[in-house]
Amino acid sequence: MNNSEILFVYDAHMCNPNGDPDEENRPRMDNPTQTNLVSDVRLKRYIRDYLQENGHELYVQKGEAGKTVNASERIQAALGQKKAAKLGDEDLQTLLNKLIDVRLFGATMPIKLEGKGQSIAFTGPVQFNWGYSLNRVYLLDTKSITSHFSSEAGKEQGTIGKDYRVKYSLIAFHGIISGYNAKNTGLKKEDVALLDQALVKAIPLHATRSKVGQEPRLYIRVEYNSDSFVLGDLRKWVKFSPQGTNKDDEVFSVQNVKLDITSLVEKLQEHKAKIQQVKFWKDGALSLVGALDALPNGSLLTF
Amino acid sequence: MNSHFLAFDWKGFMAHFRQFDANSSALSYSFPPPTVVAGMLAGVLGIEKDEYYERFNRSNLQIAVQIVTPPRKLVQTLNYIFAKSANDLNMSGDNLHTQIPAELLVAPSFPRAPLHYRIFIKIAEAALAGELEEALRQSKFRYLPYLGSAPFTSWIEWLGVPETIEPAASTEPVIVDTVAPLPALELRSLRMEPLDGILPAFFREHVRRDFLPGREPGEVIDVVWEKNRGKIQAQFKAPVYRLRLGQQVCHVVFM
Repeated sequence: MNNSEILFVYDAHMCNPNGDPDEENRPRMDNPTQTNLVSDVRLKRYIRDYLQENGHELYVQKGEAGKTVNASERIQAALGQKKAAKLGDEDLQTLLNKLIDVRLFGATMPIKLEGKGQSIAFTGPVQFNWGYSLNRVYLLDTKSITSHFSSEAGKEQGTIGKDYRVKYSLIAFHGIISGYNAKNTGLKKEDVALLDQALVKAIPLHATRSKVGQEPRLYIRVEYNSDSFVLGDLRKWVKFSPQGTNKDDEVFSVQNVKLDITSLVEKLQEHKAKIQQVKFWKDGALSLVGALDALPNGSLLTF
Repeated sequence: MNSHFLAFDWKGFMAHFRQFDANSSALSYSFPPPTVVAGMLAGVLGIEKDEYYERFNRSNLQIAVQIVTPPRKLVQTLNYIFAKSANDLNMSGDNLHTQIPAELLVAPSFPRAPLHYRIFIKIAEAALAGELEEALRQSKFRYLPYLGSAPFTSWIEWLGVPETIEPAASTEPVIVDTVAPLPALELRSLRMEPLDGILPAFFREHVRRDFLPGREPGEVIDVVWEKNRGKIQAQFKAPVYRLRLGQQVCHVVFM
């Protein structure tokens, strides 16, 4: 499989893209620069949820209520056999064949292979760096909220917590697909197509109260023609500027966003000989400067 | 035997280099320690974990790191899967999650600028030097380079094969540009006076020099780096290499 690099931009309006559990679930922030942060695992979780909802079997997933399925049991269930004392390479292939999340993101599995240790670790060929906001982000004043989840079983009253939200955050992620590493987990072309789809579709489907107000805006996947070359982080060639206002704190929606990818397009032109194809999707509401012109047939992603 | 020198820049927006002696809080070094650089280089050549320690041992490959942009640390608490054994790693344990504070590194002007480290390597084995030079010069990677932890994607900018100038005089204090191992310094020779009118700010970190075959942990040393100018003035027992990269001359001491 060839290497790919992903640029994924989504925005968050009056919600909490990713809370820090040690900070009253306040949105993750780099305070000196007012940059909003979203962890790599938050993004992967959207993708896992999307895949699970679409009927794919996953290795890392919450069991149904009252039913705990530990890793060994899940592996056995996936293999369709009762005991899995010692597994062979063939069983491992069957397992990878069934579990798309391991093929994409890797996992550590308690499998004893002959001559190996107690568990096997797969490094995922798909990795995302942490997302960061391209704009300065302002937090809304907090409100105390009550919930019906009590802190201890048997207590009648719920807990009181804080509800922090960002005013507006335009979040950019960079991801890679390592073709060399893809061999280790058996990542398939169909999986990558599904990943394209999941990134564009998953986030609006995740409509919990802290996440309502998030929309995907831009998705670009550059596929190289080898499993050894990458450009680095595509975000360094993307420039945000406010539109319809000069003030950072008045950027309130996608209407106030202008995204300039001219430098990125130039970089891709420069390395044209190393690029197989570019997959492209853009939300209609986003003002984008710099066109990926002469996109070959099949590059535009439509779902 | 002649040594082979290579130099490249290593950049990315975020990094985490876990301190080997930290407890459950994931503290980070401010720069990639030698074990991280060696592991990344082995990965670039596609050598599997546990298979490179002998060839990438300090007797064959030495590493020096210049902190071009002194990083800023920020703490984020990560929601990890709570696992008492590998059996819980699919989120099936009684407690689903555990919260682990982690130090992440960013550039002071994050995200407008990336972290920036300049790496110098000195290799005894000609074949290894050749393989690394080809891979780094042409950006031909097997496993892709990341800054300490798999999510922290990064990129490498090849600088070249530095020209070595005669070793710097060892009897006089020298100004070096790289992180300096304390055992390489003459006792009490670290100059605390302002350099070019700027007062230095030193930091000491505690790193492992290398892994020995069988993933045996190698020697642990203290190293010192300077934040304001990135330069350390001292008298050195160990060789200080004067390396010329284009117009620039760097004073480099290997860890």
